[in-house]
Amino acid sequence: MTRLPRGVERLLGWTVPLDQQEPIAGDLLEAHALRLREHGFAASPRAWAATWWSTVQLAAAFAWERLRRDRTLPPIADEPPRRSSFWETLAHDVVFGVRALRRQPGFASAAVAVTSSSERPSAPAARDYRVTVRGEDEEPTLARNQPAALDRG
Amino acid sequence: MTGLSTLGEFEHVVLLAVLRLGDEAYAVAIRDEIEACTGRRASPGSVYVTLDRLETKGYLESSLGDPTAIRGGRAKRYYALRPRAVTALQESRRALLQMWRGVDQVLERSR
Repeated sequence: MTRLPRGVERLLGWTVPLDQQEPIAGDLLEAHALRLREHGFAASPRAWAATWWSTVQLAAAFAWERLRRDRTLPPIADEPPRRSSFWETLAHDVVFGVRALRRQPGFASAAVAVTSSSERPSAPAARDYRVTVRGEDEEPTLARNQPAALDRG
Repeated sequence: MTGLSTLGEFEHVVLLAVLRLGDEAYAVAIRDEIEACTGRRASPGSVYVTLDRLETKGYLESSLGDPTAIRGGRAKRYYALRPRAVTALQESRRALLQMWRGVDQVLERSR
């Protein structure tokens, strides 16, 4: 079975919107297979070069379109399911974050600030002072840095 | 003049290619149709980006076809005109025909 030249799908994944990747990869493969059939496998380097050239043109066109018009993201439900690696997921998250920052800088900055401030560790403060109740007759006492006192109580 | 003001020249050409192809309008066929009719070989990037933009603007709707073996199990994305596109094409055609009326003699004289 004919396959797309190595790296083509990766370039499409970086530059082409997710909902367009599958049909465009199919179109490229169809054209690639046609070139191989017409010119024979001896001409495969030329076919590979032509397919790569088309892919680069495509990538440049979509990158330019994204810069000029900020092509909207497809609805999540419309995205075709696909397996992705950790790095692809991370790259998508970073790209999404940058887009969110660009579109709604105030909201995104506030979200980052709130998230980072709320995740500051507060455990040491709680560990410093603990109320220990030893028995019904005894007054509650404050134990400082004595977690063992809690176990005994 | 609404159609003329909102659609670019290449967008016009792409919409007309989709109209001509009917149920077989997908990117490769659209590109071939443009070449066959205008003699211009459009770059694949410009065709895909224009189709995508026209869909975003609400002139086109798309649907995925069945996956085929020659495409490695990938589906084709078929495009169809929405009523808004038909109206825009009719308006632009009427406007252009109006503009062309009586110009032939001027063109002949200027040769």
